[in-house]
Amino acid sequence: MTCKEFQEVAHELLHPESAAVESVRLGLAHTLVCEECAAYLAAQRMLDEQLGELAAVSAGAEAPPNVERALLAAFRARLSALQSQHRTPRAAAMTWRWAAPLTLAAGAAALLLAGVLHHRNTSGPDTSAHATPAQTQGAPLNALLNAPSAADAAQSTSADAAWTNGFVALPDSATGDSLDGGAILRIEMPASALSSLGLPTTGVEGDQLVPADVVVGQDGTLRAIRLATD
Amino acid sequence: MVRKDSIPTDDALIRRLRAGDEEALAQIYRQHQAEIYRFALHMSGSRPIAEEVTQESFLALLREPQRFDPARGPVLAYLFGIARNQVRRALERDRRLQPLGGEQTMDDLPAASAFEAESEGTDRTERIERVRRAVLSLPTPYREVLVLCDLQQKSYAQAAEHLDCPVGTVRSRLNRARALVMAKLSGTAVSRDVGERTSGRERTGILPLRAGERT
Repeated sequence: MTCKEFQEVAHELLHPESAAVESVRLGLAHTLVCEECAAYLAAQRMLDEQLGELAAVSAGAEAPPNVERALLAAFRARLSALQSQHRTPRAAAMTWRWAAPLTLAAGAAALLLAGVLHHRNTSGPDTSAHATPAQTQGAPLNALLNAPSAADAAQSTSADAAWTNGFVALPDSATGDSLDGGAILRIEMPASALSSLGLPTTGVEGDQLVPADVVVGQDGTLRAIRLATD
Repeated sequence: MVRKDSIPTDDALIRRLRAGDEEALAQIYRQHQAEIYRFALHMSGSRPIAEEVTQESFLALLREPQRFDPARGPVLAYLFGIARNQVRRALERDRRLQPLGGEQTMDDLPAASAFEAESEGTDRTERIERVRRAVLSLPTPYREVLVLCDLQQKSYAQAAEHLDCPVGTVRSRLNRARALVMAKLSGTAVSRDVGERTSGRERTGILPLRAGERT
């Protein structure tokens, strides 16, 4: 065995169970006639010990409990969404049917917002905008979903009213996304479209326009929607 | 004592998961999360990245359980495949935020000193930190095999399964990885084929490797 061949199998000599018997025999025989390779084997042994110390430091490390909680919450949300789709296939279809028009509406609203902000920057306040933007100031989407206003909370006397308390996440919205730089915009949509998104529109004709607030992320995508409450 | 036939197989758990059984997901997670977490922790040197990688790996299984094919290997190997990609993406994403090479910040890692008696002094802690830095400075393919074989005590065959490569590749990469770590620790050059050169000398007690110097 040459020194080069020895160096290729040296670490295996420390774990003979994983090496070929012949390699171990030849390698050990080589260390008897080559001091440098004998020293190299000793260095490998020392490295093994040091790696063992490093492994021991994190031997009991596990993912913190919040990872499992988040995973199971995602599972339940996914299951719930799937069951909802199975129960109301027409509503699900309507949701997707309205996804594109909603995105277009949001894009238009975002352009309008950009124009308004630009105009304000150059010529002072402008109150003529039809959209009513409100900066989301970095709040995560789930904070908006879980934090109804005081006025909303006072109305939460029925299941339907509970929906009006806050925003409903739109399909494919990640609730942990930051909304830094995003905006809340006032738009009008047909009652049937809002209904397909899970918002209560009882007593309103399907094609009647209903005011709603949408959360638009910084990237222009729609994140959530709610019925306008004022 | 648990009877062997009472432990559900990966295939059975995945079938239950597809059917909407939350407990199946919990079982898969509890069986494998520690391995995935430690792999990501050793690969990244960052606890937040390790958490993120663990969560994303299991979320991927949750989103598309049908992509797991039991004929190609166990669930753990499938999860390792996802975790490897997630680690690479996370490191790539954070590259601009962290110094390269052996200068990565170790503040996120559990301090070695937290696991030691004070009487052992700082020598051991410093030694562990040096080894940790040397491991983190390895190119990804070498770091993967060293983490699996030397830090997570996987056999060559298991590492090959997790990395989806031949056993011979694991063996040769591990040899190079160890040579690189030894060279890092001793502050000396290593053979050109691993593409690393260092200078200076540290007090490690590990002799420099001069591959091919004598034959």
